[in-house]
Amino acid sequence: MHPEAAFLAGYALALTLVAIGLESLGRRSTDPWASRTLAASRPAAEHRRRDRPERPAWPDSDVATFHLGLSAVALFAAFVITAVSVIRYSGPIELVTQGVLLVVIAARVRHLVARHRALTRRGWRDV
Amino acid sequence: MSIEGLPAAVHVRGHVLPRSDRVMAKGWIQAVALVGIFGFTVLGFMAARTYQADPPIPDRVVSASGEVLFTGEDVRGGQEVFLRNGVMQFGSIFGHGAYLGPDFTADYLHRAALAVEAAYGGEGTDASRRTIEDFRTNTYDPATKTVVYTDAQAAAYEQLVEHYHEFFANPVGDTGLRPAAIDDPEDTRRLTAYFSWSAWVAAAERPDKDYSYTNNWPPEELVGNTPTADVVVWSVLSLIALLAGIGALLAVFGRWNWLGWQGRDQQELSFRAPDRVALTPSQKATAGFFLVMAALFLVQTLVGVASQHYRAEIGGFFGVDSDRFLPFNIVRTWHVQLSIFWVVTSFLAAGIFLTPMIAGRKEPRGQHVLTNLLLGALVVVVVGSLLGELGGMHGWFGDLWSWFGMQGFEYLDLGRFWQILLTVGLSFWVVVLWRGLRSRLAVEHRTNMPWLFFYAALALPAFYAVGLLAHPRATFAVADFWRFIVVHLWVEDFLELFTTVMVAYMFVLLGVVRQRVAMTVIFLDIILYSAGGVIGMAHHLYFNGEPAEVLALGAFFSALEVIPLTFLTLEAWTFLQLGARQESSSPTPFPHRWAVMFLVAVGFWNFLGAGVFGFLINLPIVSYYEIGTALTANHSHAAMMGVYGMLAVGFMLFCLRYLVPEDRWSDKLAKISFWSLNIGLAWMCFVTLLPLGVVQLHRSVSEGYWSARELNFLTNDLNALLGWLRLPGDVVFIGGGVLPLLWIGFNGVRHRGSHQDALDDGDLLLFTEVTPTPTAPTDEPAGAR
Repeated sequence: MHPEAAFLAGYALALTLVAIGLESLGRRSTDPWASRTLAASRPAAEHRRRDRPERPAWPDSDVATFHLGLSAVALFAAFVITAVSVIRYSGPIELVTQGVLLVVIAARVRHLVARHRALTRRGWRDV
Repeated sequence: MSIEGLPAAVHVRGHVLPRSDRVMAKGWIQAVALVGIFGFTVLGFMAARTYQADPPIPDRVVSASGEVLFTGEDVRGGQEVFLRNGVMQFGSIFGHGAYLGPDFTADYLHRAALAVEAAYGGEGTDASRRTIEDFRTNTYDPATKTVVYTDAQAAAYEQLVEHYHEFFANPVGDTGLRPAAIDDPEDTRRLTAYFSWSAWVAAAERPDKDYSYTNNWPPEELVGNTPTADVVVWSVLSLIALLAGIGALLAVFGRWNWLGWQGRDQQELSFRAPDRVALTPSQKATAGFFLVMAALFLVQTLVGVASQHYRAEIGGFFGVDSDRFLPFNIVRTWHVQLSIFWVVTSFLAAGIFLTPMIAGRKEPRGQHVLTNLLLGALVVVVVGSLLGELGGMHGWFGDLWSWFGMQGFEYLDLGRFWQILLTVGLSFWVVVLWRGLRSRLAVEHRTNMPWLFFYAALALPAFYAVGLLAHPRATFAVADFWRFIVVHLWVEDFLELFTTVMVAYMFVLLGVVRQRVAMTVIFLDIILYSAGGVIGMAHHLYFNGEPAEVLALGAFFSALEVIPLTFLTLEAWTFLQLGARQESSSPTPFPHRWAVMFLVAVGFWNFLGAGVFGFLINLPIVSYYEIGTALTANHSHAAMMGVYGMLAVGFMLFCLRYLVPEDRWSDKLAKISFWSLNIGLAWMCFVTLLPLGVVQLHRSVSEGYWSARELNFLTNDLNALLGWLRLPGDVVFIGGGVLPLLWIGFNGVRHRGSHQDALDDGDLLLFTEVTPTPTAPTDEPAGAR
């Protein structure tokens, strides 16, 4: 495998892993009432929490979107880098590697699109 | 100064008022003082060592036969030619400068070593040994101040005088410099003398040492330059410092969980709608600053695009010979200078905007006149210095080039006249703040928050002025030391301190946190930054002629800089949580959604851009091969734009939220700008700068540093392609990120007059407490009372 093609494949894979990491980070709850920071005011908070709407208020809603957005940027970057590699190197080993990468990227894109749809339709906590 | 619990009597306008008690315990103040004294004492030690161990500039360099090749005056004159023509914004010297052109230290050293080796018979054991011996033997005689070159070195020097003349006087261009940029043979001869001296410094062993004045940088096998023991050992030790520091930080936070941002107690707050908060005339005048800020931001990005384009298409701009009128070095100079100007414009405006709210009362008469005067002066300095840099490169100012033209040190490119004017302007800004604050300062303990705000502001002109010590005729190591006081200490530490105080104050004024909590964060920030950042400045000075102990101190303490960055990232998350709490507890909406989102982005980029990308290049062993590559640009873009840029935009949106009427305000535009700036910046780093830097680093280690910096390598098809790939991200960044800010800024200026004036002190409040608690706090600012 050409060293440059190996570098581009490794870099695209790293970007894909970054995208996966960012997306899973966005799944974490940012419920302010659960944090140590606001521990002192928890009793009052718990009371209010029951009155909170199903869909979390800002910034919880934006946190998931923020991570999804950055994840999408990283995935798109991985796709572009892989596409560049496809144009420049077309040996059998390179093509197989690039093909596998594109399949992984496509699967992640599909997953992100589904997450985004679910997020906008049902509220992120249900996703 | 009051004794705790016993307020001192203070006379204000004929009345005797008590000073408020000190909010922070003495232990905090002592800790800040101790860490600060330690940091600046070590910094003073490094300054002294910089002068003591400065590589000498010989009075003359002669050949073995006694012929004078060049003099010390030629070297100094060569440095002036280098600076005056903006060559430091094209290539670099000792690894410092711009990244399109070669590093001239490494370039000269490699070319000269090849020529010497060839003179000794070409590749072979004996020729290699003699070449290494020629370059490493330090022939400097302190008594006669003379350096002796061997005949082979002298011949190489003469060859390179011709080579560099051809390079700089090239009438065709195709280098990024304007055609025939430096065509006076005397100038190019002096320039070559300067490069030759720098290469001598890089290879000749320090007296009584087995490494060169530059700790054996650049890596160059031909002259036996390999990493020193210090470079390797201090890289390892700095890793240990980082691990221990992060562990200590987490342990401290686990042990004392009251550290960091804490929300207010159970009080219900009601945010005042922005159009119900009255504004003073000076606050309204800040709208002009934000419009100017957005305009400068736009110009900065456009010239940034132009400079980046040279990497993708060295011959011009889509077929236009742009190097004739806007060569790489002028657009990069403007890009770098404007990055400071637009960010500082926002910080100055935000400081003026917050002052009446901090003072909690209407401002003194004429404050808005001074504010407008400051804006006018700022515009004069910005426009004057940028045009001066262009004219300086064309030789418009004769002997006054360093005063009005291009002084030429990267980030301190502006002429000294403009540099002094800017320092005066910053001092004038402090006076404006002092006028607005003095009634409040008079009744506050000198360690309380209004004073911290004032001290942080006062530090800005004080430390910017230090840059005046970097004089074009100073030796490079000395000039570079003072230059980095501005680039690192002023930007990375004192701007950071000022912004931390401002962000903390915003949260206090909004009622999100109490003053004591905000002050704890500020004190913690000062301690952490003083511990790592002040001494850590030396990580810029590993290889520029400083002694090995400066390298050791820089490596060890700059690793600690990642710790406060981690701390700030953890804290950024709490911003979100506090915002959420206030949003849900206030019957009125939280008006600063997008300003807070920009602060969250600051946390993200602080960790990634300053922390991860910064640490990536921080170890001496990495920096040894990497300095001056795209990995440095990757760090500087992610950190400068990601942290200071996002902060500047956050401050802008915070202030304009009050200046733009409700019916003219667009959260949608702020949202578009937020996403576009973040996506554009991420694209810039992940698609171009990071992979390009990795490719360059690999080339540097495998082929040699000189090769990784060669124009031919940088513009080869893969690297040019990576450069082209940046285009979509830049379009998003400018079109979606900057232009909406310009429109919001324009609306601020257009509609600021429609906002109600402050009639009494209470009009300046940003929130009201709906549910007073039985134990009312005593440490609230006036704005929160």
